Amino acid sequence: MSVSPAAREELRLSFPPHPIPGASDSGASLSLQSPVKSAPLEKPVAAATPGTAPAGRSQRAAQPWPPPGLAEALTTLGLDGEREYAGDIFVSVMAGQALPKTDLPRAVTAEMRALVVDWLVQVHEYLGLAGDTLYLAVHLLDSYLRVAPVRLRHLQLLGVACLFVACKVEESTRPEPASLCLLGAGSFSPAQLLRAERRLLSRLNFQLYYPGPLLCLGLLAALARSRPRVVLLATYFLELSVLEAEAAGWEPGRRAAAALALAQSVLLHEGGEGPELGLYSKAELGPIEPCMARAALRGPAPGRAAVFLKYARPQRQCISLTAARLLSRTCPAPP
Amino acid sequence: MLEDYFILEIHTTEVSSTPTTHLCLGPTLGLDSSSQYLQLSKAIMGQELCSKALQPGCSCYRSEGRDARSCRRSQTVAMDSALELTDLREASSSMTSLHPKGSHASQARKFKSKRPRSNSDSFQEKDLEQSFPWRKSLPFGAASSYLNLEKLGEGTYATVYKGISRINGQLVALKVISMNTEEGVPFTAIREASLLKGLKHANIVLLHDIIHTKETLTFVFEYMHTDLAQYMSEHPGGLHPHNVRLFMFQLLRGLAYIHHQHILHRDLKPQNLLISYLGELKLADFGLARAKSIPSQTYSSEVVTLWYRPPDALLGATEYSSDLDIWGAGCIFIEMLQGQPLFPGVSDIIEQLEKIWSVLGVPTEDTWPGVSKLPNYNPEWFLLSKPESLQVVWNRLGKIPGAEDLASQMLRGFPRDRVSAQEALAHDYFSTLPAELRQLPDVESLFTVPGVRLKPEICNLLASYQRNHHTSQFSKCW
Repeated sequence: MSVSPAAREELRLSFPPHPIPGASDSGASLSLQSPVKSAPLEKPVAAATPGTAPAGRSQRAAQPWPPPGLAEALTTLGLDGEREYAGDIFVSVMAGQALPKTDLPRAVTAEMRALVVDWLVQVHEYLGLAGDTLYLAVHLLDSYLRVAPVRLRHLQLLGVACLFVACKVEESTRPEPASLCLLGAGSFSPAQLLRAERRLLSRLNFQLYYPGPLLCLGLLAALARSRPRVVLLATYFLELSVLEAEAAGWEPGRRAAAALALAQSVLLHEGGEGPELGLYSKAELGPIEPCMARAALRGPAPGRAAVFLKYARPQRQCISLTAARLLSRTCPAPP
Repeated sequence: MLEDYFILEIHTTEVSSTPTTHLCLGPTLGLDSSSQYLQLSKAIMGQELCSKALQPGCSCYRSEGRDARSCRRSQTVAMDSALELTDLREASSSMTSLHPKGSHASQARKFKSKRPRSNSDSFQEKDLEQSFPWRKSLPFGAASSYLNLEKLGEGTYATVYKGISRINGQLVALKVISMNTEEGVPFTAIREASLLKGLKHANIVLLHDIIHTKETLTFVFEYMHTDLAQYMSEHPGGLHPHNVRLFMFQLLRGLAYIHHQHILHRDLKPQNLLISYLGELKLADFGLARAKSIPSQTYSSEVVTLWYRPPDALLGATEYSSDLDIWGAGCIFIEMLQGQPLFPGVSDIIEQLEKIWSVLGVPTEDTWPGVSKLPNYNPEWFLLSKPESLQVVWNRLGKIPGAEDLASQMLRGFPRDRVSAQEALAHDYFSTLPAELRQLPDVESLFTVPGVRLKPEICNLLASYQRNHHTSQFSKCW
């Protein structure tokens, strides 16, 4: 995966016209897949490149894997009991596989999927669930859509069944089916939810283990000794990506690395960044960053506002507003 | 619920068309479930066996107490009512070789078996396995591919049956999950299945198959003959030190494997360590296991016995990692040697902690940084006892080289001081075991290495001397 600086430059220049499948074939009302939006991104990215691209950067294979300082990073994550197994844990978490790149079922468009996921984000926030639960729920949804057909009117039911199962895996207190039905405004009954749960488990054959991208982000940020503000912004970028159908095709580690790299470049002017990790090359992160940046620039678009509004709250430092402001400074406002 | 399972099993049998057994269940629906599965297994196992088995008092899969009575009652009813076995050509022809041994086995068990899961069963089952002609074409995931034999036990969310796979003739344990009408599939079942799917190791119980039917969910596990709790109760007064070493090595090997994958078992106790007749030990019951550290609500529920809970969790620490399992393994280690639980009879957290402090001494900020900030910490403990040497409390530790040192490294109050499973495997205590054991691939059992075998337990030698007639069979295991 080594990319010479020249080749990287070439890639960087070529990525504005890079087709974004999810955005383009979804018929998104926000025509943001134009080069205009992606091009401005080059600035921070390019600015980050000279200072942080040592010669060793392109020799990823030669790098120690896991990287040095991992035990300390785990300590900052409260996992210092795991020093012995730090390397294995890092590898098993970061080596999480992406789902196969397949189209959504005919009945379900990327827009419809985004609408359901947006609703799931709201339910997730309302119930005060853990971050991993959301990523697992969306992962289950995407996995199901790859193995079985679903009728459009059952998409919301499928989504909430995914959240229900994700809670059973991740949470220590689980929401009542009745309260989930209430949040669904009565569009499905508890009995339907339980039937959907059985169908989901049966179709996925209990393959629910997913060390999601949030865990990867935590590890990467601890390794890079990122500031809390950068981590918060990266968490926001990462969470925006759950709305994108194509995000399921990105490995969790690469997805987290892209969110972190984008956050670092956006907040570059605030300075004080830790060491560059270089676990992924620019070419690998290339397709993901603009997708997240576009989503951040979009703001509270109808049907896709939940993540933006969630991160606009004061307890999250209104980071989504900051992100939109900083990103739009480097590129023209959306038409 | 069990009744549904059987009806469904019959239904799928009919649909799948391989064994054409039609069973008229109508009149028997009022009976209790054990009688139904008796009838069903008879129906599938063949007419001849069935007619033998239906003679009153002749055969009963379980012989104790209430079950025996209910079975006998069911037999008479079943004889009167219509247990119709039609079109048995295929079923009976494929089963004929089973009859002599099979019916004999079930009769023999009537006189012998004291417990649902006894070690002595295994050899008759071996006969059964060999003489059963298996259908290679049967699919995994279908209820009709397995036969229920007997009930092994009932857990909080599941009932476990011994069964036999009609695909390859292996004995299996069928864990039938009870569906909660309010909550759906129990979260313990979801976690257990999703974690075990990814674990392939000789010291982790193997999940063969998952059967989804409309009403129930059944996990098919490999069959293990006993568990450590039962093994210890059969051999009271402490186990053979050689066997303890083999069990301990396997326990730590299994723990090292799951800890490498960042999975915590979180419910280690002798009941959850299954043992085969060879002496293979496997971790089971991952219903409380987690893929990473989480808040303590699920852990500190009443289902987890206090006896194996480490002091940090007792003090209310919510962040714990693999050292949690190490404490439990240390407790089990000494319990195997001594034949008794370390801290038995306690009913609450404070009492448990005081028992632990009476051996380890009360921790201070020097020996355990941050201990005084934990929620259940009590400054008055300061007046309690000083640490003692473990072998003063548990005398057998001193008789085996390295045992006390390993135990003391596992039973440290401060979690970070505890030895990891990987390090413990390299401890001197295990130096008498063959070196090949450390190079074994994950899926290879210890007992594939020549010369590795259990030694007979002392009390078993005495017992076999007393009841002379079955000794030759037992020489194979213990």
